[in-house]
Amino acid sequence: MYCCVFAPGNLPILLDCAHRFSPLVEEHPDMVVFDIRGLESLHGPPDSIARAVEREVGIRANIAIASNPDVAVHAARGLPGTTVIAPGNEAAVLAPLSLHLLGGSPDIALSLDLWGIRTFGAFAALPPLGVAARLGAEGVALQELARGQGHRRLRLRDEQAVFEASMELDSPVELLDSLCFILSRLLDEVLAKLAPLATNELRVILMLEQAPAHVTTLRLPVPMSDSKALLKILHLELSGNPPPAPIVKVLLRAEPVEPRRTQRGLFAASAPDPERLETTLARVRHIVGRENVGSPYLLNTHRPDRFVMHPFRPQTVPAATSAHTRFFAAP
Amino acid sequence: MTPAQLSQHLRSHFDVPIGFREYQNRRPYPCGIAAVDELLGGGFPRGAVSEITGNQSSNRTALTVSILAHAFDAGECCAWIDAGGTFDPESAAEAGLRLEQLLWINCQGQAEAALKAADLLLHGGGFGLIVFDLADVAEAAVRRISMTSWFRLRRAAEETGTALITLTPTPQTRSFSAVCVELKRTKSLWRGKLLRGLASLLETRKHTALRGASFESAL
Repeated sequence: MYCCVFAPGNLPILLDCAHRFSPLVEEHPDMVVFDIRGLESLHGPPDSIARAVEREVGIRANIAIASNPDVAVHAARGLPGTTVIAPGNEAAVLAPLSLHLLGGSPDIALSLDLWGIRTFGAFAALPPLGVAARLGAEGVALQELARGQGHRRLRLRDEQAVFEASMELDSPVELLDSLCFILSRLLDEVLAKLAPLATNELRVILMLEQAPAHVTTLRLPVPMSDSKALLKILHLELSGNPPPAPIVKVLLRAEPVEPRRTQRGLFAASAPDPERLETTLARVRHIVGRENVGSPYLLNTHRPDRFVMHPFRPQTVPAATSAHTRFFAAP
Repeated sequence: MTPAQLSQHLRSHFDVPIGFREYQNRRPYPCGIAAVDELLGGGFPRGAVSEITGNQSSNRTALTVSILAHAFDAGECCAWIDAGGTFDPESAAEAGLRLEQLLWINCQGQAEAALKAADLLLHGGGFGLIVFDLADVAEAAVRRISMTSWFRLRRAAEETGTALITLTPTPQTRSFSAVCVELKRTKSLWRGKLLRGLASLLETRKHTALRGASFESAL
């Protein structure tokens, strides 16, 4: 069984209420749907669960309990107060609801409106073969929803995972090499948490002795998970912009992203390995300055120096041959 | 004297193992000028150092941009190490260079930084062609680049298969380059009072059957 609580503009309250009953919560802009299977032993039959939800939510809301999430959603949006739909009775309860609650593409809504179909019940009564012939697969799926026959799992709300590690130091650290030793350990810890994902942004927050925190952010053009390469890049970044005071605490935070998956062509030209290239470019940036390394991008202006530097991203796909040669054999 | 005889002769004088290294025959990068490509046996070689020398307005940069554009057409990853900080992206784009595929390192007049960057990129591997532009830095700074540095660059180019093209005002790479060409402006081409282009003569400094090729660039 699933419970839907509908109260526009009160999402934080609804989420708070839903998480008191179940960890399996689907979030919408104006309602929440959550799994209440197994709560019978705690709260009793579905009517008692509905009353318990009503008490917990504490505000005026439409509550619906049904055997599948879609029926609960439609009932909560269309029927005021608390509705408990017994299994097998979904179509009858949903029948009087207005068809605009069903959603779907505008073309299908227009067709149904032109046919004079305005309620769930009227749509559910149409012959399925005729609906398939005229409205296609989407029409069939919508008719199943109108009949209360939807079968889907909850689209669970993802909790934002935090990938970070920190270390408080017994005595303040001044040397960069000592800091790298600590960073190496923290990087290994964060990357172990992150696996099998990779990261494209690393943030090192250094709490300093009698000075504001020193933040270094490393934005990588490709997702990476190689701790040695990341440590080298961090080392170069920090040596170019060292903390101004001794460090008392180190915090490392990584943004998770899907790892890079590439399939190289057998006859494609060779290109630098992205991880190795990023380390190389970090070394070059350390020598000539960050703003002097990259690919120039021309701006649409007549001002002098009309370009900006973009990060270099190698592309090995050959483009169509351009008419670039403007040489002529001398007579 | 054949290589075998030379090897035996050297072995009799020095108590060290002496041999000849085999060079891989890699497809060169053409520059798009038939006469120059013919002169160089197909173009500028991969896995080797090539040197283009010449004064300002001798079509030195135009020739290099043309080589780069052909390398981009082959899908290669290319870099321009600009020691003098004089690379003009706008002109390069007008000459047909796809800037979004080019790694530009602007060293702002520091020849030593440019040398380090070239060394790092070459040893990093994966680049098809690297332009090492020393044309607009002080000649004294270029002369300070030691022979061991050129040797190191040559070995890195050989190992990674990268074509390293150096632009210098006067020849610097000596025996470390496989190709050394000198460009001389022969005349300026005018249409009325407007400069239409530049005519140049390219001469090779290495021993080849052909000695020179002439070409013109259009503005």
